Amino acid sequence: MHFSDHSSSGKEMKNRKILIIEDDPELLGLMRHVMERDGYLVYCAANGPDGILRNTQANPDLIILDLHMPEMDGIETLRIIRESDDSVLVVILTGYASPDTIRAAADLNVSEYLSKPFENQELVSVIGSVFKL
Amino acid sequence: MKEIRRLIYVPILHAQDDSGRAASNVSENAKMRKSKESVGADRTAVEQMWQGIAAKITELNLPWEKTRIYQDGTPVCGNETALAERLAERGSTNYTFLIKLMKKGAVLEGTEDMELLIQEYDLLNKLLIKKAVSDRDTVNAEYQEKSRKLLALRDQFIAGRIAATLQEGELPIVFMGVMHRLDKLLEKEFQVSYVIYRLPFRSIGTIYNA
Repeated sequence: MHFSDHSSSGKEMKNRKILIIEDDPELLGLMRHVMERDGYLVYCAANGPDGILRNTQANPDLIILDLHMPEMDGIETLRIIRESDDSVLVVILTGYASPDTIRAAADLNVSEYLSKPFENQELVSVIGSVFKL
Repeated sequence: MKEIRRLIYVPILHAQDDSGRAASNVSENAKMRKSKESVGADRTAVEQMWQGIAAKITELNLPWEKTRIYQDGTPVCGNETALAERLAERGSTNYTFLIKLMKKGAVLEGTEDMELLIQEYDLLNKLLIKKAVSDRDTVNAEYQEKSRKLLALRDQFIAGRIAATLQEGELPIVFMGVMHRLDKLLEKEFQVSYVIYRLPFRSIGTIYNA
C-alpha cells in the first residue's frame, strides 16, 4: 500500500464505523490511518476469531477483511459473521485470489473484492462507493 | 511428455452495457428506479474495474499477435468482431477493451453456443419479470438451480471451443464471468494464471454474471 497526499473529504462519512480484520500489523496500521483520516471510526482485529468478537461488540457498518490469515481465513471468518449478521457491508482484500475464493465471497454477499497491492486512494474510493450505494 | 500450455484467466463482472441482453426492457425499468447517483457509481465501478484489469494485463507484456481472446457471452456466429465493435460503440467498457487488444493484433474467438445463450437470456428475462410480482427468494432459488445446470453446459462448450480453435504457439486469454466454473475444466489442460483486480459486487451484482 502506498500513500499519497490526496484524500477524499470524509465529512459525510462521520460516525460510520469500520472494522479492519488484517493479520499484517503494518498494513493494519496504514489502513487504520487512512480510514481515520477520512473521518471513519475504526476498530481493528488481528485475526478471524478476534474479528468475529469485535464485530459483535462494535456493530460496524463495514468490514475490511483480509482473506489469507493463519488460524482462520477470511472466508471462514465471514461465514461465521454471516450466521448472525447478514447486513454488514464487507470489502475483501487479498494478495492471492482464485475464482473459487471469489465465488465463495460472492455467496457470502461481499460488496467488493480488491487485490493487493493497492494504492491508498483505491481503497478510499472502494469504501466510498460501497457506502454511496 | 505433453507440454503444459499457459492460459491467462480474467474473472469479470458483467455490466448490463456489456451484454446487449434480451432482458433490456425489464432491466431498463429497474435502471430507471435507481437513483442517478447510484447509476453513476455503478458506471464508475465498472470503469475502474476495467482500468485495473487493463493495467495488470499491460504489465504482462503479452505477445498480442499470437494471442487469442475468449470472451464470455460472445456467440459463435462468424460476426464476432462486428458484434464486439457494436457493443463497444454502445458503451461497453468490456468490449472497448477487447477492441484495443484486437488492434494490437489479438484475435477474438466466438465462445458460446447460440442456443444455450438464448436459453440463458430467456431464463434471466423470466427471473426479472417474476421478481416484480413473486416471492424474491423462491424466484431466485429457482433461477439459480436452472442457471447452474445451463452454466455447466456452457462451460463445457467454451472449453471445447478453446481446444478446437487455439493454434500451436498461441496464448489464450479468457474473460469470464465470476460465476462460471470454466477454470475447473481449463486447469486440467493448462497452466492457468489469474488476473484479478477489483470486483465491485455491490455496484453491479451477480445477476447478470451467469
